[in-house]
Amino acid sequence: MTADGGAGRGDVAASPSALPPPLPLRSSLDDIAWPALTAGNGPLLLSLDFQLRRSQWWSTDAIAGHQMRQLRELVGHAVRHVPFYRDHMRRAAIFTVAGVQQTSFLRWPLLARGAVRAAADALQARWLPPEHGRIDWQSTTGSTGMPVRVASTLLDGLIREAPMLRAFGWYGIDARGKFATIRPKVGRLTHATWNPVYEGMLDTGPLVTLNIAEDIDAQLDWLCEEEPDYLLSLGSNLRSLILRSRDTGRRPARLKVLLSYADQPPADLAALAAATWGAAVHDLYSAAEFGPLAFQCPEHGNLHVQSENVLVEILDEAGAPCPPGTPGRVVVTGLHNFAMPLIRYELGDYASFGPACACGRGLPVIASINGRSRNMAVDPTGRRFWPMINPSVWLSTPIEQRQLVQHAPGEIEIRYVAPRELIASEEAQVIEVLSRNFRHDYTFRFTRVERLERSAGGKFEEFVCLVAPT
Amino acid sequence: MTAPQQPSRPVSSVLPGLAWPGLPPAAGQAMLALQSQLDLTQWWTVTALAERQFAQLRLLIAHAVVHVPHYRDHLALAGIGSAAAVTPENFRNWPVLRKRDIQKDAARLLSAAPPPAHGEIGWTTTSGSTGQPLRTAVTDAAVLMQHAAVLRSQLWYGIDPAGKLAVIRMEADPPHSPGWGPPTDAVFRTGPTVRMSAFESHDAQIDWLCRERPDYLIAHNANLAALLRKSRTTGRTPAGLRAVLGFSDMAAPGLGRLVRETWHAGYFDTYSCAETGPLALQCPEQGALHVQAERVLLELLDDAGEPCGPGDAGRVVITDLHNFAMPLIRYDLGDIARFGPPCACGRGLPVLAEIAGRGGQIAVDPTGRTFFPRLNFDFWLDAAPVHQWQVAQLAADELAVRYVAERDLTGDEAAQLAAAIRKAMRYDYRIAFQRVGTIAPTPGGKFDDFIALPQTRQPR
Repeated sequence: MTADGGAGRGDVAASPSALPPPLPLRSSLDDIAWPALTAGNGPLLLSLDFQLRRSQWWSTDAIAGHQMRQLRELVGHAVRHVPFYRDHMRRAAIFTVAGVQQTSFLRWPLLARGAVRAAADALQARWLPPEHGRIDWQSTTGSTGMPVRVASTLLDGLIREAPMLRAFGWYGIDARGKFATIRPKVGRLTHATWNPVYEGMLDTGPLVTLNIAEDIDAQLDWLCEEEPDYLLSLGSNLRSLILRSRDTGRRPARLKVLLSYADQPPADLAALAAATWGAAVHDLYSAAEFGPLAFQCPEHGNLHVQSENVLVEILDEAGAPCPPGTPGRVVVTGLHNFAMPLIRYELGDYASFGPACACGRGLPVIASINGRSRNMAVDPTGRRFWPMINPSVWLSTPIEQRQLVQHAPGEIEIRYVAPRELIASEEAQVIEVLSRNFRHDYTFRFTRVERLERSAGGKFEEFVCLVAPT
Repeated sequence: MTAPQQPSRPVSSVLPGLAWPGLPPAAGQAMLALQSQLDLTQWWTVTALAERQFAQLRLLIAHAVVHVPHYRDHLALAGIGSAAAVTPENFRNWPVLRKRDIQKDAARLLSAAPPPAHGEIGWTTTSGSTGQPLRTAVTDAAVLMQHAAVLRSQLWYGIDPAGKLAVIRMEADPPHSPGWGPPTDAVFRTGPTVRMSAFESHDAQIDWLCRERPDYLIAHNANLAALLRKSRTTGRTPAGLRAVLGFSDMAAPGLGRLVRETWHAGYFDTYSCAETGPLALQCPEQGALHVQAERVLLELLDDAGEPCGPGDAGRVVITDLHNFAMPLIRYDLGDIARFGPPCACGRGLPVLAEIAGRGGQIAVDPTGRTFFPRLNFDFWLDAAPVHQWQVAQLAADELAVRYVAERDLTGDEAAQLAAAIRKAMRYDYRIAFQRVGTIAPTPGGKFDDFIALPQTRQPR
C-alpha cells in the first residue's frame, strides 16, 4: 500500500541492490553501541551524509536551485567582507544578492589563477562567521608552474569530506579495510586511521603511504608487503604498477578498489586492473583549492560533479556556457569557503559536460577532461587544439614511456625511455602516424632519456606545449 | 543502484552562511546522524540486524543485572553465565516481564545508576486494560531512538514537514503549536500543528478537520474508522488532506482503501505502545508492518513461552534496547500478532502480518475454537449508517453489537449485519443490537472493536 492519495514520494536513500558495507561507526555513549551516537565530527559528517545520499537523486534543476541558495550566501558574504569582491556585484550588473541567479551569475567576472596570486590579500575575508572555524592554508600542486596558496575554513574542510564518505558507498569501500596511497609529498608511513577527520566517529582500518617518486619495483614490493584493500594513486602510476605486476608475476592479493586522481586515467587502466588484479578503478577529479570536483559514477563511469561542494561551469572562449559535448574552460566556485572565496575561478583545465547519466543521479556529468591548456598543441598558425595520438603507434617500438614536448609552433620533441635507441625505420613509422594524428607538418625529433620526470604534483603529462600563448 | 527521484526537501540550517547542505542544531545533527545509519540498516539482512541487536542487548543486560533489582537474578534464572554469554537461544529462558510486575513494584525496575550520559529521565504514563495507570521511566537517549523511528516514518512516507499537521489523541494540549515536535523540528522547517481530543464527538472532529484543512492527520485507527464513516454519511470531507497516519489500535482491513476513497489521501499505519513508542511502521511500498529492529527486539511467543513458528499467532514480547533507566526486557505487551514473510520491498526489518489488540480480543465459539475476530470493516458501511461500533462477546454463542448512529438500525440492516458477522466469525452466534451514545476508549486510549469473554482475556 502506498500513499497514492497525495503524499509525496517516499524518501528512499539507498536501494537493496547496492547496499554499501556498514561504516565502522564508533558510539561515544556508554552502553549504546548501536545505532551509534558518534562524537567528534560524526554528527556533522553523518548529517551531511544523510543529505548527500538524497540530493544525488534530485533533479539537476533542483540541485542547481539549492546551489544558487548557497551561492547567494557566499556572494553576500564576499561583497561585504572580501575587498576583492567589493565591486563585483556592480561589475556584474547585479543589484541585490537575491538577484544572483543562474543567468545573472554569467556576468560575474572570472577569477584567473594568476589573479589569486596577485590579489591573495584582497581575497581574504576581513570577517568570518566564527562558526566556520579556524583557517587553514593549502598550496596547490603547481602543475601549471604557478603555485597558489589558498585559505579555507575548518567547516569548508569538513564539507569537502562529505563527498568522499558518499563515495565509500558508491564504490563499496569498507572503511575497516587497509588503505594505501602512493602520491607526492608523503613518506613511507603507517597511520592508525584513514583520516584524522574521522576521529571519534569511525574506527577505520590503517592507512599506509608511499612517495610516488619511489621506483616502480619498490612500489610493487611495498604493495605486496602491505597487502592493502584499497589503493589511491595517479592513474598513470597505477597503470605502470599493474603492467609491472603483470610482467613480474608479483601481485598484491587483496586489492579490491583502485582510486585514480590528478591525471587523466589511461584508457586501458580499468581493463588492466580487472584482468591483472581483479580490482575496480574509479576516478576522482579534485583540486587542492576546492576538494572534490567530480567523482566517477559507480555504475556508468561518467564523472559526476560533486554539486553539493562546488558549482562547476564550462565556458567557451567568449565566456558563454558550453553545450554538452563541447569542451571549454573549467570554472569553479567553492560554495562554502568563506575565508577566501574563490568565485568563478579558472582552474586551467579543459573539459566538456556530457548528457545526463543513466544511473538517474541528477549530479551533472563531465564527459571528458581534456587536460590543462599547457597540454594543448599549437598548429603553425597559432591555433590551439587537443592532440589525439593513437596509442598503438608505440607498440611496434621498444618505447616504454614517452612524452611529447612542443618547443615551437612547428617543432615537437619526442622524449622516450627505451632499452635502446630507435632505429631509423622505427622513427619513420612513428613520424608517419604522428603526422597523420596531428594533421599538420611538424618537425619531429627524438631524444632518448633515462627517465621522464613528473610535475611537482606528481602528474605525468603525455603532451606539454612550451609555446607561449600569442 | 537506482532510487526514485527524491523530494528536494532541504534540511534547515542554523550555521551562518550555510544554506545547503544544511547543518541543523546539535539535536538535529544527532538525529540526522541516526537517520543516515537507519537509511542503511533497514536493508540489512535479518541475521545482520539480529547480530547487532544482541550486541546491544548484552550491554543492556550487563547494566540491568547489576543496577536494576528486578533483574538481579535473571541471568541465573535463565541459566546464562554472564551478560556477555547472552545468545538468541538462551535468551528464550529469560523470564517474561508482565504488566502486573510493573504495577506491583515499579521501583524494582528502576536502575539505581542510569548512565549519566544517557541524559535526563522522563516519565511516561500509560494504562493497561485493567485501567490501572502504569508509569515508566525513560532516558533522553531512549527517547532520541524513539524519535528517530518517528522521523523515519515521515521520511518513508514522503511527508512534507512544511505542511499543516492535525493530531487527534486523548490529550489536545496545546491546541495549536508552531511546529511538529522535537524530531522533525530539529531537522526541518515545519508547518503548524493543531490538536483535538479524541473524546470529542465525531461530528465535532469532522467539523474541525474541515475547518483546519490539514495536510496530514494523525489519529487512532478506530477513531479514524468512525470519522471516515461520518464523512461518508454526511458528505463532509476535509479538503487537501495528503496522508493519514493511523496508530494504536489494530487497523481494520480496508481502512487504507477507505481513506483513499473517502478522503483521497494516503494511509500509513504505525504499531506503537506508550511504554516504548513506535514498534513497527508500515512499509512505504508494500503495506506490511516493519519492526523497528534498530531500537526494539520483538518476539512472538506461544502459550508455552516458545517462539512462534512463521505464521503462528503469539503474544508480543518486546525489549527496548536503549532504555537504561527502567529496562523493559522481554516485556509482554498483551497484544497478539503474527510474523509475515519477508517483505517484497527488500528491507530486512522483520514483518508483522497482523496485530490483534489486547490479549483479551480473542473470540471463542461453543466448540472451544478461539480466534482473532477479524471483523471486516467494509460490510458495516454497506449495511447501515453506523459511525462507530463494538462487538462484545457475552457467552460462547452470544454477541452484543453496540453502535453509534443517527437512528436505530432497521430490521433488515440488523439482519444483514448479523449475517455478515456470523460469516466473518464462522459461527451462528445469537446477536443482539444496541444503539449507544458513545463508545468510550479504554483508559489507555485504545478503541477496542471487540470485547472478549473474561475467561478468554488472558489466554496464557
